[in-house]
Amino acid sequence: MDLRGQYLAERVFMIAQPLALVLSYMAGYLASDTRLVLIAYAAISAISLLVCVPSWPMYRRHPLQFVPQPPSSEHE
Amino acid sequence: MHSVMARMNQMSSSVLVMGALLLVAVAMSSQWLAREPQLRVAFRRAQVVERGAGMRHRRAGSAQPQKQLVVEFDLEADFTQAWHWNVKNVYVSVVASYNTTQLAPEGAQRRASSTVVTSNGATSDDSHVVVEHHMVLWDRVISSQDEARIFSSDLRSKYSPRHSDGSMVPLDRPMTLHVEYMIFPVVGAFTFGSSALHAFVLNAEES
Repeated sequence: MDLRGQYLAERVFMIAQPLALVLSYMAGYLASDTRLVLIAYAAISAISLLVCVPSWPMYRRHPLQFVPQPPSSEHE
Repeated sequence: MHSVMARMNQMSSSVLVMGALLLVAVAMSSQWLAREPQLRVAFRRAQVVERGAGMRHRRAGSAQPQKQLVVEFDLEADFTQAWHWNVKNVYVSVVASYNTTQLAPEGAQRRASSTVVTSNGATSDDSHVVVEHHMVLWDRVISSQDEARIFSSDLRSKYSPRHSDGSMVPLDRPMTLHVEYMIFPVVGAFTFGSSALHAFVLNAEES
């Protein structure tokens, strides 16, 4: 994962987590079921971990460009 | 965040912390969702019945039938308003209470002066201590909102009120009945409560 990919992964996770919190709480409250809160939160968190933890190709679009190696001095 | 392990470590700990916050939010919701249940209990009659000796007494060799006090009462307990998403069970019990007096132990007068009753003209040698007795007559565990209404007349006590030494409670004493409840939440703190006291005199009939 390149530097931009790390930034993107962290951002996606930081948006997904509060969303998981609010959505699972609302789902449980509307259904009057506390177990649903935990199931929904676990499901959304598992999906967000699956999206953010592995080094998917979308996180490797900007690899570091290294400076080309200077020509060797053996010809001098 | 540079490696899979570093991301896994940081993000999973964040998931756990947020999960704990979610449980705190669920527990706190009980504070504003909780409503007082409607409770009322009224004494109807009491009678002393003779029943066969229990297994314990049979083994001990005394198969004498035992006198048991049966109390009948009306109970109205409505927990439908108090029931919300964070309630798992409600334990309801009907409790009988009465006071007796007994001789104060040595030195108890000075330590607990508020509980010492002295009869008219009595010297400090015959001071008595008021002892409160609370006995559960009947109880039930409510585990769903469908069964959260108990409107029953002529309920009989499930447990025969007795002292810890096995002796019968005094049959001519003023008593009170009240309903106690304990709400078990899915997440959070237990809630306790009780109804108003219903005073009566036992006056049990022998049968």
